Amino acid sequence: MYEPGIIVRRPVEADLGRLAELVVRFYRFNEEFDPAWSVMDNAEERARDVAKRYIEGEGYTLVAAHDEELAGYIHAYIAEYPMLELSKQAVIQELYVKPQFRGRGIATTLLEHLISEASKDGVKVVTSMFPVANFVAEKFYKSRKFRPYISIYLREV
Amino acid sequence: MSEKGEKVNWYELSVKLHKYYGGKIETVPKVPVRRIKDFAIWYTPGVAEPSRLIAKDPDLSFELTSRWNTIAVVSDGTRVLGLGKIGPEGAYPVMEGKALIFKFLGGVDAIPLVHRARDPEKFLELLELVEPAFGGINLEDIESPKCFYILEEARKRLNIPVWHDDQQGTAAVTLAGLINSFKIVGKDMRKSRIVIFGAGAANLALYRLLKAYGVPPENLVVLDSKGVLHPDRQDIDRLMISHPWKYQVAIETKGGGLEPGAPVWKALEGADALVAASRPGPGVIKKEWVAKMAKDAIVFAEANPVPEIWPWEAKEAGARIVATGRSDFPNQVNNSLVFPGVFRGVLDVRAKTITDTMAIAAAEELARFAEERGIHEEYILPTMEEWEVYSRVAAAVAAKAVEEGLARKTLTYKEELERAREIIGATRRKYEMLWDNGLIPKPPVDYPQGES
Repeated sequence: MYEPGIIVRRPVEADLGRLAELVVRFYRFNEEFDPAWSVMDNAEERARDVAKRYIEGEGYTLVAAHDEELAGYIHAYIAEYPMLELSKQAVIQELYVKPQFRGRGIATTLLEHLISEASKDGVKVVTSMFPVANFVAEKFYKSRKFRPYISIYLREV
Repeated sequence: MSEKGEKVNWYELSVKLHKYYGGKIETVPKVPVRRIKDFAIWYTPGVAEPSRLIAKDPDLSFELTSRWNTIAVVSDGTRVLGLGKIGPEGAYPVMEGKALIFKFLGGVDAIPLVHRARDPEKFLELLELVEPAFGGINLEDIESPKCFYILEEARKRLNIPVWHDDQQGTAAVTLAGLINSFKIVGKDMRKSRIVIFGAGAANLALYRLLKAYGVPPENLVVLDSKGVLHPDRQDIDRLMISHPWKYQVAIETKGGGLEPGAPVWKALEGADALVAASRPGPGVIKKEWVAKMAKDAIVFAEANPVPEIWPWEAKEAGARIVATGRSDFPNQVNNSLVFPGVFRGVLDVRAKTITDTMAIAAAEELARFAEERGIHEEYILPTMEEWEVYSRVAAAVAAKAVEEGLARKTLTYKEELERAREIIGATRRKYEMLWDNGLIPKPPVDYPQGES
């Protein structure tokens, strides 16, 4: 879907505060679905460090910018499985669009941009991680040709 | 209850009389039973034929049985009056009271149907299972946000009208009051700023009606107990999951253009109207906040038994029109003005559903009714004693259902007005006859005459 006024680009220094806010929002959202995703009290502070690393080029990060505002972002890291034919995978760790920008295809645009960038780097598979109970994410990825792939089980120790 | 009326202990009196009469309603036959042989018509063997016909064509149940005029007043007892989760048995007297009003004001036979299906899916299943017995469903006293889901789904799944009075009834009478208030102050409601304080069943339904009435969402600000519903609020994603109705309001209104986390007074600054349906006052709405509103402010404080702000306080703070939920102050916002007529209307045209536009038609008719009698600051809505109002609402709703293609029977406004008058009039005559003949015994204890 084409959304006028939205530009997808890599994050820059000036985005730091706004990107950090989106990172926190992403984790707070997932917290709703699994207590293991509970965020720390100083999450805002930590999110700035995370956002800083993304801006410096860690993994793949793209933001959807609307004038001065950030409407959403996507972040993936590269996982290497040397024994597998599909050895280089991009794992989407975070994808978030602000409520007032939802329903306009921005998440899809971010996803497609990320896939196209990663495939240029030889990535053959894109995966996404989210809490099992996050039905919003499940619906989103399933309707965009993703399928269940790995089961991750958790035990607190 | 008036200040004077506080001498009457309504609670105590009510218990005594409920016990004396053993509840409030009973079924009364309406066909001749001259001799036992008549049962061969009404029961076996004769009744087999109506049964066979209905089995072939279930729609005939509306012609050959009392279904056409019978509704269920359904509650799981999870949010009864101001009493909270008091359970289905606890809810029974309230539902029975509602049934009494349905009959008395609308000529509608209503059956209290309290149940244990608290789970929304079970609740809906129950409605689907009992649908063949009723011509309509009045949902009552169900906790929020479950009530929104149940109403939405029931409207889709059932082929008979479903109404949640705490949502649509209260919202419709509030809209009627707003229509006339804006007329009095000479402002265009569709261009005014309206603050909705409280995001429960009534106010979220009001939001929906205002939108359908043509008020742009950006002109509206809706607040819940945590403040302005705003797309940038901290808990907004949680709302998307737990309360999609509030979430939608936040997105559509854009928080009324306010900053996220704006205080209540800021939301009220320059506002033309405030509708509070939140928690009992006084002091929930502060005078200083009302003072921030625009000139000729309209203040509806609908909490019971005590409004969010006392009417005189709101007036002192500059409000020109004040309405409450109480009968002892002017401008009572009372959903009893709406639901008897709405059901009279939809039953008479056998409507498939009750749309929000039909609720708006009821509101507009109420407003018109009061306007014809001369509206002013202390008379924005009809009172419950104005008997003609119920037939008028019925006629407006029936005509709207026909216009929207949702009626299985076509009646004009005038035809339904006549029919509703007849049915409601006949009910009252029968009732008077029972009373005059001592078939309804005189109450052994009473409140002093002249009290209301």
